[in-house]
Amino acid sequence: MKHIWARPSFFFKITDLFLPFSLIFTVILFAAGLYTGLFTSPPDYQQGDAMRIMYIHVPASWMALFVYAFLALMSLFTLVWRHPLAEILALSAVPIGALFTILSLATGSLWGKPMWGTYWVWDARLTSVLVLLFLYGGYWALYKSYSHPDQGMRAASLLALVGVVNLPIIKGSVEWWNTLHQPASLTKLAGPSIHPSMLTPLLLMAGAYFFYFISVLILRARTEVSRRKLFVWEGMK
Amino acid sequence: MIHREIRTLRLQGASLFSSLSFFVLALFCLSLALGPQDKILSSSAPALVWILAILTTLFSTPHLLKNEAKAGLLDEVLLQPSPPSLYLLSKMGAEILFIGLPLIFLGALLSPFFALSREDVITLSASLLIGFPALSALGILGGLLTLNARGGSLLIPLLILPLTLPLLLFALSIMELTRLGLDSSASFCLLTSVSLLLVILSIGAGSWALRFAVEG
Repeated sequence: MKHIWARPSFFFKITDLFLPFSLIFTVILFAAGLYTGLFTSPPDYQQGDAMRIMYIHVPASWMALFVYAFLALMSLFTLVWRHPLAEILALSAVPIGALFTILSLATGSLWGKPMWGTYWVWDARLTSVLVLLFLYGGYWALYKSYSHPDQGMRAASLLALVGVVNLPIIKGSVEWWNTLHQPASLTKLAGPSIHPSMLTPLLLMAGAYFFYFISVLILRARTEVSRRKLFVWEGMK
Repeated sequence: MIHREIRTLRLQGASLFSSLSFFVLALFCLSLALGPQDKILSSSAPALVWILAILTTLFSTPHLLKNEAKAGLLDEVLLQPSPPSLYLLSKMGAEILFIGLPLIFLGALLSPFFALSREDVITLSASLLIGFPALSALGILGGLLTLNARGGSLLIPLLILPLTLPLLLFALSIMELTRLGLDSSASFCLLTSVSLLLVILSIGAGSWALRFAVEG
């Protein structure tokens, strides 16, 4: 068995330092975001209290896209430099990204029922987010369908790279097509069209999701590293 | 090189015929299922033609690749001095000639059955013509990625269908704009750029996949 892990001790040392902070940030930001989002922020003048689901829904969608971009970047590292850490980080990120996508879809449907009168419409935004879920699924299925993990990893990485074409489509789908989904109100050139009292919890929740991602990513990656070390050790016996 | 590809595709006439007849028969079945109202048919026909074009390429391309891999041709490609992407490109070219063009022609030929107007048929054929290279390239990529995978051909739709989403969205927005009598040149430009981008990406990724598939 060839040496598949470059310097696990270094990764463990770094993450030992980061993990507690990241976990603490996750807890604090979730608490602060949920409190400000659910209690102190004002209800929307059209949608009332139902819009509070935005603080769950919007950051989840952002993270779903962000995690895919991260996955594509790690796939590039895997293919170009054959770096084992990139491989492990990519594999660890996939389920988290899929989770964020599912969360975004589920909360979106729940929000859609009182606002649009339906759980689901086949418009560009919803469909493209659903397709994002299938991209994650395809990556995982392709990786698992090879009997040799190295081969599966390379095939899946290629797929993840080609899948990047869908990211701008998902991002742009609200502006390019007339859909029920409202356009983004934060990342506009003219500045966010959202009141600071609603913006704060939104950003707090986004931070909470981000640090949640980092923490779970580190935990999953550490597990994977240990599993591989065990695998090598068993192989040497 | 493209000559060789054309020759092999001609030799596989039977599978070409079966994929084209799949296209036609599926189109008939779907229109039968939809019922004979002109309104429903004409509004759904472009979407049906596009989806069936996608499915036809998805099923036929990997099949052709698998035969070549079985014959040991892919190893040969890697040994040659010309880059493997050239081989993939010529494969794509031959497919456009022998599957794409007949498919577009059949689509246009069948349009009277779906009560499509002439402009609709022209835009549909043009959008298919622009989008087909990307479909073919994606099919090649899917075939190469799953060449050594367990249960390979079952995976291909899961892998490749999500990637065809931008093509489908832009093509159908073209159709909608034409039907409303609006200017659809912007969507045409977008479709062209997405199609070119997908061709470049999947041929590039495909030549890597070819190397991985052969070297293991």
